[in-house]
Amino acid sequence: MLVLGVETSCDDTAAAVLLDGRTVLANLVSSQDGVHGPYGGVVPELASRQHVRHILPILDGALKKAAVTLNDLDGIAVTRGPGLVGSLLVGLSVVKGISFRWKIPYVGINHLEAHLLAIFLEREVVFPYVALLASGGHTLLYLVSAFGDYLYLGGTRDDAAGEAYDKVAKMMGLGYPGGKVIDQLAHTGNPRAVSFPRSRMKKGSFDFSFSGLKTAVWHYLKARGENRWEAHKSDIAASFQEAVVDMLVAPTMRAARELGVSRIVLAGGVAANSRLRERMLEQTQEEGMEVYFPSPALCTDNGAMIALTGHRWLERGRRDDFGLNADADLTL
Amino acid sequence: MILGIDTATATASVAIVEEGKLILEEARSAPKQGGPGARGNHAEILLPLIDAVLSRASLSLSEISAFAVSLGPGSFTGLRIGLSTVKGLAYGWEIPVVGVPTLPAIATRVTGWEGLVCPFLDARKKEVYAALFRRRDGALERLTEDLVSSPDAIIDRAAVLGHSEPCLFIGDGIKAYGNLITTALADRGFLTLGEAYPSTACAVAQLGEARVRRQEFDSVGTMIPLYLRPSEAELKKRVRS
Repeated sequence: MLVLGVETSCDDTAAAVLLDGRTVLANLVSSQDGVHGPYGGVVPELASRQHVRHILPILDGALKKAAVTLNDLDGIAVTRGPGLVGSLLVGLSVVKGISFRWKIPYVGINHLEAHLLAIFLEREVVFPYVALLASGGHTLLYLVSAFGDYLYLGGTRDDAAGEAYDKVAKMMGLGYPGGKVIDQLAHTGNPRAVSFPRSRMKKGSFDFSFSGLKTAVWHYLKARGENRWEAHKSDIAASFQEAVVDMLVAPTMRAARELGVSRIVLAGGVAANSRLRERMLEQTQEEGMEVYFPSPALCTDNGAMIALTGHRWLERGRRDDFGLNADADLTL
Repeated sequence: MILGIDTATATASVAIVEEGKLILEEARSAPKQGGPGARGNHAEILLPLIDAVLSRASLSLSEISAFAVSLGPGSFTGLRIGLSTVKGLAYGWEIPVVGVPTLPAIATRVTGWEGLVCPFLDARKKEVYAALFRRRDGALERLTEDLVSSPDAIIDRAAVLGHSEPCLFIGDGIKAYGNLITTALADRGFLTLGEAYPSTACAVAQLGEARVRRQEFDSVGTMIPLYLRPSEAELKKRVRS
């Protein structure tokens, strides 16, 4: 089965072609970082405008790279939520148009489900597993027991992990997106230089919270003044990152322990973070568990994971009709 | 056979035109409320509407010879749904696509009126999208470019341009600012038609057909709506810098 996957839920226009739910023939992403950079975060209206410009060239590029034509496709999968509604509508409308013209079945995909399954593009993972989805828009913990069987365990109460990175990067004048720059800078810094607070949830909760940490960084910077912290900004970056990683690792490990699950899957843009990967590897090894993470290109938003999820739904016979709308708050 | 599509305002319309003649046209309002997480929008109704028009005309999409799409100004989301749908419909075959500015299309719908014509769309933020035209002996002359501006400024412009001519205002801007027109132009002939001209797709298709005849095609891949107004974030940034 040959499936085209289209993803426009936030600021990346992405399309991919997937053969038999396994072989990625093409996986193209047009990043808008240059557009949103000056604002220090994604501007929804600008993102929608960029998608309209890029969607057909990206989609066409993916088909050409995969050396297939529309006639070869067995189905199309497109993100229908959650995300920015204006952005979602561009991908969804284009896909509905193609599906209508060429009578190719299509399915609207839940972006979160696609992230939780992205690992299958590279590895077989035995169910059940605990999945941590951490990105600029989400910080969620799920128990994945089978395809289609996702149990919500916890989520962030305020900022998403990636959002905290962006905001701290903005405070420190490091640019956007924050994840990459802070990760890079942290390599040369001391993670124990500044002891930023770790928010603790009450017993039994698998929730996350990053706004306290963000505020702590702000106060730290303000109390010192730019000329005094500038010299050891790599230490601040490393210490901030260590706190984020601590707060991501602890509930994830605890969930696996308490549920008696020995496999953990990371997903989302923050799963590309080098320190998070390192710490999760150490922790899981220590406790005799296994951790899986997709390569960075499959952690961030991409069309391949949408195609994969679409493949699974299509093979179960699901088809969506042309009245389908985008859903900004779609849950799993 | 041209398929025209307009989603610039709350009412979406689809029309089939051949040799300037309307074959079939249908309009539908976007649902006020969509499902959870989605405000009602044209995404739910546009393709079903296209499907309905084609089957009522006993046509298949492959028999259409060109697409004409209303480019704006209008609701950003509406415009993007219309244009993105056309991008999808046109992808993969050599069908011409032409974008048609929305305000002239609205003015083209007018018949049986001599004087000024002013498409007048609510642009939110206390502004309207508008342009002024003069209709004389059945011919339409454009007097201004497409404008995004306060309703007062547009009404003033109509008063100055029109001398003693009556002015016809059309569009959903009348719901919000009709009283301003009534006050300012009280001693003049004027007429307001809120959404009495609900359907613009026919004119979009007709104007599109004329451009197709002149071989003035747009490049479907890179086509974008006529927003007329920068995003809020860009506006704020300009003020700051």
